[in-house]
Amino acid sequence: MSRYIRAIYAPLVGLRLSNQEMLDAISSWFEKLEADDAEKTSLFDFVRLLLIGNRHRYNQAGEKFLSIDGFAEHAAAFSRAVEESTSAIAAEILAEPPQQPFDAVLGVSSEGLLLPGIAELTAAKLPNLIGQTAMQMDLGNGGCTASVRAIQLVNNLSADFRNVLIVVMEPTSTLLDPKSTDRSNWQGICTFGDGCAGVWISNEPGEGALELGKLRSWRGDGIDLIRWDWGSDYYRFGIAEREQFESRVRGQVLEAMNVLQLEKEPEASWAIHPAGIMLLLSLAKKLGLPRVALEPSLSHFKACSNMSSASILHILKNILGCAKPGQPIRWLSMGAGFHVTSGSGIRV
Amino acid sequence: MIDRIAVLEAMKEFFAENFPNIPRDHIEAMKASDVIQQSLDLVEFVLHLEEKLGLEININTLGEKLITKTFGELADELVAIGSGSQ
Repeated sequence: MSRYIRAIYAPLVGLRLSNQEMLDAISSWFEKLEADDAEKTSLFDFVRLLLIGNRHRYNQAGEKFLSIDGFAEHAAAFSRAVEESTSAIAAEILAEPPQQPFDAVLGVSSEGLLLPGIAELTAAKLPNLIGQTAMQMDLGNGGCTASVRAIQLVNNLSADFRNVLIVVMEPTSTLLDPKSTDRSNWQGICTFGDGCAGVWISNEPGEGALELGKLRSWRGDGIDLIRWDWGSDYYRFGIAEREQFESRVRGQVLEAMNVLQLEKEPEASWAIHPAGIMLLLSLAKKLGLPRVALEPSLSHFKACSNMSSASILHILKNILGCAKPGQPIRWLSMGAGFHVTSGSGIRV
Repeated sequence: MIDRIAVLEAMKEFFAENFPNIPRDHIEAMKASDVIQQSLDLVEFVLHLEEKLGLEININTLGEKLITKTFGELADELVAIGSGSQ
């Protein structure tokens, strides 16, 4: 049985911030940060490195995102972000609703856990499309590959699930710990942006749909590479062995590409998770992709930064919108686990 | 073992291709952040040096030196990395 991506919903949510605006906000915050001057100077130079150039991100924690303090404020920021994201996705769905209701809704996030869950909150906003008997369930802790692994899961459901909605929300700003001087924390703050997306998967094709092909995932031995640490009052970004992080990530992804037997396919359009420009360019080289093939991923990174697992759906939506019938489309994502996932499809 | 002159030559080659207006005779004293102001260019610069010097360069290892040091000082850092002393 074939399955199809019938629509991708990719609203932009939150406050748009440039690198310069982030740097200005962090600069002001650093004046209050409790650390000795040498440590602050060195940390601020590190932040400057991370925020070099023209790049933007969206931030759902609001203008005072560097003032989030304590568990209650972090949890409230997550709750507000989920409310904003579910509403934005529901509005896009209602603008062009499917003719059949959804048989299942899967909520995806790695940043927080609150009840009611993302699936139920979405269902409550789409009562005519998500019935009371539809399966509603959240998937957590998937990191940057969560959305594509959720698609893999749906692709393996029985034929009874004819229309499935996956809703992804990654309000990464709610994890920032402004009191910490840990570099992993600031690497996370400067690298990530907030994002959400939804994807409708159906067992019936439609105009502009993507027929799903082979979907695969791989977990390497870098279980500790990306993790959530925790600080004085909430979770925060963490990575293992900062000095070796980048080369270990590159090593894991290259190993996965061999195991997953990713082929050079110059005619395909590629969506690659924007984990970082260094990694993107290295992967393109390995895949024999010209620079132009990376443009959808690079331009997404410049416009939105790394939205964790929401990013790949935004990039795919862009690629699908430009693809001609019969166009092969590939995707590759990587993140905590350490997981690497690949997928393929053909634009109907 | 990596030769400092080879590192500077690789840097000059990058600038000739990507920043032709930079006076290449004086790069040793120039601050990297004055020339490279986009993250994509920074990564291209590092990848170019990796390829030309046969060296794996971890951006995290060089860290903020990539924007606070001069190219001459960066060449010293890369020589140290190449000799395994970093």
